[in-house]
Order: sequence, then C-alpha cells, then structure tokens
Amino acid sequence: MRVIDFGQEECKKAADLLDAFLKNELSAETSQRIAEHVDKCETCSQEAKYRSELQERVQKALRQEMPDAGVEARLKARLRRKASNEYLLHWAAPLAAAAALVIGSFAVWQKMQPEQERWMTSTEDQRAYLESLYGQVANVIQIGLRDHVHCAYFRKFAETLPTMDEIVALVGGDYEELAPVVRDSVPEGFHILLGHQCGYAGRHYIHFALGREDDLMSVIITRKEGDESFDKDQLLPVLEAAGSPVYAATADQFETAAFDTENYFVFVISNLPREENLEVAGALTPRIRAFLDRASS
Amino acid sequence: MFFGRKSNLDEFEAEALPHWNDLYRAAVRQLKDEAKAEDVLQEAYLKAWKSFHQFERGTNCRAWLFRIMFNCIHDHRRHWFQTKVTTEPDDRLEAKYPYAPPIPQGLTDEEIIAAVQALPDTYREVVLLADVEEFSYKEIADVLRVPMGTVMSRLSRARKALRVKLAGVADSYGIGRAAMGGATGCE
Repeated sequence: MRVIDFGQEECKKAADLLDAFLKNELSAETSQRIAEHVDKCETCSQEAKYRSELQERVQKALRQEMPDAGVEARLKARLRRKASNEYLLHWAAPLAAAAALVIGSFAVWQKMQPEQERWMTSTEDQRAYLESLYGQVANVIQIGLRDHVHCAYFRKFAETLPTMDEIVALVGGDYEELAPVVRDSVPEGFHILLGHQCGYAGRHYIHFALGREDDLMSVIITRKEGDESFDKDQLLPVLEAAGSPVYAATADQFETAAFDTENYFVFVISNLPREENLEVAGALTPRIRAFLDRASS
Repeated sequence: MFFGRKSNLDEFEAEALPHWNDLYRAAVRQLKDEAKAEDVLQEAYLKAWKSFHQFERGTNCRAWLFRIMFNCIHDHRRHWFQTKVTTEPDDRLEAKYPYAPPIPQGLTDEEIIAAVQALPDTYREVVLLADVEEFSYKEIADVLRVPMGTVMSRLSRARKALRVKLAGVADSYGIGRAAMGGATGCE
C-alpha cells in the first residue's frame, strides 16, 4: 500500500485520511504517521474525536433491529416455494408423469393435492407465520383463518381421498348433513380432502378441507364465544346471500368470506380470487344457515 | 443433480438467512418503505438462491448478499423513479461545511436517523455500509460496484453533509452554535 508523504500540508492530508485511519484501512506506516500527527495537533485530534463519536452515534441509532412482523417467515416461505416449484418442474413432474403410466390413481391423487408449503415444519415457524397474518385481519376473521392455516395449510393430507362414510364418521353424527352440503356447493373439481372436528387455541371447529389442483379451501364452522361479532370489529358486509350479510377479508394469499347465524360463525377460506371465494360462500350460506338454525332449535 | 440442488437449500438457508435482518434494515433505510424493502429483500434472496452455485464457500456471504440486494435496490430506483443512481450530489456544497462542531449532546437517535435519511441516496448507502454494517472500503466498493476512491470520497462528503444537517438541528435548539462559530479548520 502507498505511504503518504505528509510534508507541509500535514493537517489537510490528515483530515483527508482520518476516516480511513479510524476505520483501520491504512497501511501500518501511514496509520502510524496519522496517529503521530493527531497526537500533536489539537485541531486534528478534535476532528478525529468528532468523527469517531459521529460514527458511533450513527451506528447506535441505525443499528436497531427492525421489528420482524413476519418478514423472516414470509422470506422463508418464498424461498421454499421457489425451491419446491423448481423441484417439481425439473424432477418431480416428469417422475409423476412416468408414475401415472404405471399407477394411474396415484397421478390423479397428485393432481388433486393442493400445492402446500409443508416446509414450515417447526411450530415456531408456523406460529410466526400465523402471527404475521393476524395483523392483517380483524379478530373475528382470525378465528377462522387460524384453523385453516393450522389445520389445512400446514397439513400433510392422507394419500387417498376419504369416503363420505369416513368423513361423516369423523365429523360426527350431529353434523353428518353438512358433508354433502359442502361437497355439492363448492366449484367443480374440488374434492373433500378431510372432514373432522378439530380444536386449536382452545376453540372447537367443524372443519372441511377441500382441494383442487393447486387450490386449497376450508369450510369452517365454530360456535360464537362471548360477545364476538362482526359488528364489534366494525366490519362491513360486502354482499348479502339469502338474507345473511357476508364479510370478506384478505391476508397474504388467503381470501376469507364469513357469515354468522345466531350462535355460529361460518368461514370459507381459500387461495381463490375474492369474487370466486365469495361465490362459494354465497352458495353455501342458505344451506348451512338452514342446517345451523335447525341445529340451534 | 437436482436432488443436490434441493438439498442445497438447507445449506443456502444456513449460510444466508442469518443476515436477513441486516439486509432488511439497510433496505428499509434506503427505500424508506417497509413493504418495498420486504419485496426487495425477497427478490435479493431469490436471486442469491438462484446463483448460490456461483458463491465461493468460505468467502463473505454477507457482503455477497448485500451486493445482490443493492443491485436490486438500484434497479428498483431506476424502475420507479427513472433516476440515474450514480449521479454525484453537488460538490459546491462542500465549501460551506463547518469544521469540527462537537456532536450536540441533546440529539436523539430519531434526529440522527432523520438526518441520515435526508442524505442523498448515494451518500446514505455508503454511510449505512461503512458505519452501520461495518464493511471495509473494499467490500463497499464491491457491493456498490464502484471504485474504492469513489467510496472514500462519497463517505467523506456524506459525513460532512450529515454534520451540516446535525448542526442545523442543534442550531434550531440553540445548542452547538458557539462551538460551531468558534471552530476553525485546517483544510
């Protein structure tokens, strides 16, 4: 490294090199000469002190970590999704096609499986992701969203479709009428991947998960607790179906449509466009409402 | 071959993800918008993942990621603001810089952040990389793809501009005026 010749303009040269000196970027010889000059020159000594303090203050002020708010979880999700897509394109898709020639039913199943991010295998990742969603929607919407994300989005479904008898058995006799209602009200191509009663965060749900190629949908019913309501969260309905106001909300890729009866909330949550998701909710509303009203009476 | 690439994702994540907060912080400061910063952060990581096979193991992954991200930031600015990011701010200001005022003690972190945020983009990025992220001049030159001399001159000008801004804040409080008035430079 070049050694600076100081000569008569020592202060000017020292000032020019002070930043590099303080960052320890100079050669040992030049650094030594600057140090000697700063020691004997009051003005340059003050300047060095100033620059050093300024750098420390700037670093302290700007080095505060940014609040996460789900940034890391979303970043991991995007990476995994990208890696997963590449994998499917380069390897798994041709393999699945080859397998389809041998085991047709397996390939059919593969098509019915929605693309999911099962990569969030740690509870911590899942919780962070869920929390990042909560900030995007009202409390009442979170009630359904958390069950969809926890129980459908992060789930690895069985490799065979359940029969209607199996679904009814898991949903329970009191709700057996719901399974065909759900099956007949969703758009063509959707299949029930799962129907059951489940619990999350201390709450009980009737949950149907449905899949169609890359689409995943949940129809979720849960009993109201306390004074929970759409009004309380100051939500405004986006449409009315069979006399019921229907509410809508978006969090990341999830579209939620929701309505209520006297005692229940009903959620339709999917990765479909809002209009399509609302259409499903609109089709389900009269039949589910009629069933729940009968159940309440 | 592709199994190898898929398994590399774990290696990439282990190597690259620990730096996400440093990158995100720099992106927020440069773009002044958290949503845009998150977009750029994701874009940078996707690009890094795509070219991870070119990354030399054992070299500075953090600097490599910053280089990719600043490239994204510059592209982003060019796209949205149609600006030429290499434009140097007006050097004539330099003559007006005061010399060696003490840092007013009453300044808050928020005021320092505001002063840094008010710097021209090309100055702010060198301050962020040098003073906040503690990269060497050579690393900064590599991240920003400019000569090392440019890094040094931008940093010097950035600090002088910052000094003027902070002195202005202090002046508005009625502090630091005496020190500034009495300061004499040796430039």
